[in-house]
Amino acid sequence: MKTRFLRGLAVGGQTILLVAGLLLLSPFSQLGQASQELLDMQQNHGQWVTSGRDYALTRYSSLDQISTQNAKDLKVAWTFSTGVLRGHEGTPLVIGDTMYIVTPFPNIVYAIDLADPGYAIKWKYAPVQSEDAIPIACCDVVNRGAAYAAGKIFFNQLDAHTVALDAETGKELWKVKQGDIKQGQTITMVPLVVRDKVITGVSGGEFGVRGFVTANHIDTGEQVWRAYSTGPDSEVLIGEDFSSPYASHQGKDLGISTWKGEEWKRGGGTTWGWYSYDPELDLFYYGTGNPGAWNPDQRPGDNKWSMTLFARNPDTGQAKWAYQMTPHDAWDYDGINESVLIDLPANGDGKVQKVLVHFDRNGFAYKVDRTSGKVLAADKFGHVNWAKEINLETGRPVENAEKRTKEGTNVEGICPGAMGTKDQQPVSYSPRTKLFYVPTNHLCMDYEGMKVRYIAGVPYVGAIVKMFPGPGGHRGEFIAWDPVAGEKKWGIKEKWSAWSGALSTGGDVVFYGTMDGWFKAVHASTGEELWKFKAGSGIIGAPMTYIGPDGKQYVAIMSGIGGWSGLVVAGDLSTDDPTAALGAVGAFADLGQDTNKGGMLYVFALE
Amino acid sequence: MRNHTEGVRRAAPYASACLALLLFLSVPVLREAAWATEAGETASRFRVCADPNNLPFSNRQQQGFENKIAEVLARGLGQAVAYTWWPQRRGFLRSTLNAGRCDVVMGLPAGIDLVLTTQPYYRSVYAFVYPEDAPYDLSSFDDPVLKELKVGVHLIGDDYTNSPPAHALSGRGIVDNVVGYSVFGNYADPSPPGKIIEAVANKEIDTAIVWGPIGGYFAQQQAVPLRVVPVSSEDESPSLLLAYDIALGVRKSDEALKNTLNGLLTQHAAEIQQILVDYGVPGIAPQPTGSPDPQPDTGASDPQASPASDEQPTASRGEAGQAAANGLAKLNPYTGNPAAIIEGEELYKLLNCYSCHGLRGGGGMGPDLTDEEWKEGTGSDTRVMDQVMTGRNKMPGYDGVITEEEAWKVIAYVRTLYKGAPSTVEW
Repeated sequence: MKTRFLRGLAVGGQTILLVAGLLLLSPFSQLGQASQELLDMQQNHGQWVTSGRDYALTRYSSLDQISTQNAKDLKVAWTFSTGVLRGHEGTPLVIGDTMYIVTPFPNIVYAIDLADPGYAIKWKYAPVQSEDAIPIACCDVVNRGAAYAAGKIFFNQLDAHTVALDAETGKELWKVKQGDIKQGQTITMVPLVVRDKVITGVSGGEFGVRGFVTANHIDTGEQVWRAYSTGPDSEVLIGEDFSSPYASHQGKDLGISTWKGEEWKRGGGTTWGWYSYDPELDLFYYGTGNPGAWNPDQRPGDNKWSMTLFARNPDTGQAKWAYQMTPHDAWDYDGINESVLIDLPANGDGKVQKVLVHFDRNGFAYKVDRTSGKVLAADKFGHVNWAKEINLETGRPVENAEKRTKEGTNVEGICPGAMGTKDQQPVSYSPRTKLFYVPTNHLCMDYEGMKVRYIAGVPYVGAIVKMFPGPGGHRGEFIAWDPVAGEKKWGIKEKWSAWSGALSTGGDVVFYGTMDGWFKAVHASTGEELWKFKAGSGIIGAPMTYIGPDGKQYVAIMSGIGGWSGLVVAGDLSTDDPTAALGAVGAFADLGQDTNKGGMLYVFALE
Repeated sequence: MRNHTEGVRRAAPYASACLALLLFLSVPVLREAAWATEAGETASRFRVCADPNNLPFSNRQQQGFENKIAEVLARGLGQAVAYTWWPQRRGFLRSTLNAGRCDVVMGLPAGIDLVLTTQPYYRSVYAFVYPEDAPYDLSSFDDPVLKELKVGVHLIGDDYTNSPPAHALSGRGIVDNVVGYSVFGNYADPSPPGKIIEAVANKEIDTAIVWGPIGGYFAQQQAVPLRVVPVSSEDESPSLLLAYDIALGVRKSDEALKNTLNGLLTQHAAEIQQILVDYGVPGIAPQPTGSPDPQPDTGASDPQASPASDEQPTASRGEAGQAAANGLAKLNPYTGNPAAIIEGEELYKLLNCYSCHGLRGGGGMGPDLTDEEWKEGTGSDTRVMDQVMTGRNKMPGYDGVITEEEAWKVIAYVRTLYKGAPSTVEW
């Protein structure tokens, strides 16, 4: 479908958009339920109203002005310096004529007026937050952006607060404390809004934080429910609605009985990834992170519900199903990566398969029936040697015993490394090509578990890790993945991990950035490079596209190296210690030769 | 009260600027630079940089005992004293002696590293100051009555670092009843360091524990008779020095001037001694060696304690003091001790230090420990110990989790990770 956008007139300060014949209300309308409003707004591909563009997290926009034919003519349209020099992992939003971005710590929120010829700052919100949050952010002081609903902007501060702002004025409406930095709790993730609830997670898996997900009312900030990742069913919110096809997932209080003693109380399972939502099933999906500590011998058992995909009801928080991908983790393969919701064609029985596709840190691309939590397929999407396969009957990995880490032994040559075959960098799915576009890491590691003492607010890691490039020497690859066949269609090897998110478009152009600062446009079908631009600093943000007030298609990306992989540059680390930054420096020590610190939004358009 | 983090933020550029300047100063050409001074600049002047409001050491009216001693020395050279006045705050030595504004700074701890120091001309000690009619007889930190009293101590510097008495007290669990007074006080008032002694006279506190010359001088000024009792030498330990040798400082390249001054100090020792007595300095004779070289075991250069450091207005409360205060005390009994280093590495792992700083100190969540940049100030033993124990809001403090001895072992391991210039090693 070719979508055309016409700009309406400004009426009484509210812009009316005519979109493919569908009349939309002003984005700041208070009418209706927030999620219906969001769903309607998501129909308008000229806007970018939620971090993954839609609830399914496809990061696909049907905009097609920029095509495989003309992408070579892309030019910088405008830029904006965020004034912050740490890792920029987020995605801008565009609501109406306003773009919203959130910087890394100190988490300044900017509203930029796209209708102003000078792209003036409409408002700026600079939170007051404690600098004590900085040193407890494991993997740079990143922030993955804002969420919008009902005329409000929601975002999380590093110091574990959730804030609601008036989208029009930037006025603070409410602010709630979700966690305590003295306990090692921080927040970097982007919130999800469903109906009248804003849903957020927590970071701190390296501090023995007991992970949780919280829903707060969008109007008042009042907490509605909180679901923990470990502990009794009553606190994990596992109740009557819960079911699992796997025997190892059935039974009472597995969040306690799969741990030794009281380790579950500092058991990790943090919740810092991107969340998706299926309005029809009324379930939202997210994954939990590593169990604490990284030394597996300190926590015998499966360590539920770390490393787990959860499907929950947004109103009650009750779990519908859960699936633990990496039981008794020994590699830091956090399960937090996004689950993208797609419907695949009938498979024998004539029914459309409602699946979620999840590219996990552990190197397997899971295709899961999102109604039941049953794994339909799990295929390696990179170089993986810790496990041979996933047993679809039991749901458990078939491990390679030589690569299971333990206390007091340095297990060498484990692939992937702790950053996984994919980390936070979000994928995109194009319904046109029916392919996923997956930025991947190509890293392996040595890992030695060590006894560690728990001290509140102090890291609880217990492993010495050294990462290094995988076979072939490149550190990343940007791949196209066929979810039906479960195989790679094509790949572009990158010198550095592909730590930026992906964007696919109706013009069959796919965009992504690289850690050395290249912003690339490639052909969605072939991976052929169409265009590239060297940004001032490495790119770890996720690109987006929108239609400007002039009717033109724009593509935006934040540049600013950092994150776990880029911390060697962002944090001025020594390049001589391969174990620095939890093992990242081993793989990225020379990054400083290719890029430098920065913090800049770049926006591109055709002339 | 100052914003703590602001001070911290400033510290790093300060440290590197200071280092750069010191390197620069090794080039002789800067010594020829002509700086305007209050008294003009001629070769026949005895050029001294001093604080204009820092009794009993110096003031603009030249009423301090260091002013008197400077006169004695200048007279010995047949010269007049020419002062450049400069508050003894952070940056003092850099901005004065080491910027060529003068040739001599009085009252530095013998052996401090930023300058060349002469033989010591006096030695003093921390002292208890309390009313003569008090029902107690204090001379030791171990006196159980201290737990019952309200005790005043000076805090050093912008960042409220503890002075040696504060450490001695907290080491004995005496914390809640201790009151801190900034050694800088309000610089608009005359003689800010004296406030703590006024507090004793006014019975706001029961006793002060201060650097001897401050206690001796200000006790004389009060309407109430006060006793000044040097802290017992038995309270001293290698990790906590309470007495210091005090010397003159010249630029590092000024060996000839140092020798000249050594001669003058010997020649006029009696006169100098009399001045010190007149000012009530609780005296002890300088160390017999008279060696100007840094001798870690003399403790002459203890930072925190060092009178000349921030604690002591006498010498520089400024950069020298800061450097002395933060940089020069070699307090760690385990530095270079192989067995302790191995133990320290095990603790470094067990306590998760490596998760933030890397197993080899490369950093991550926390700063790189292998380079010359100490984000919280300097890399001195005192400073690093304080960091480990309190966290200084930048990391979790380990006080109560590990013992001081364990912390010293961890620090001894951290020292082995250092890859910066050997010249900046302060431990």
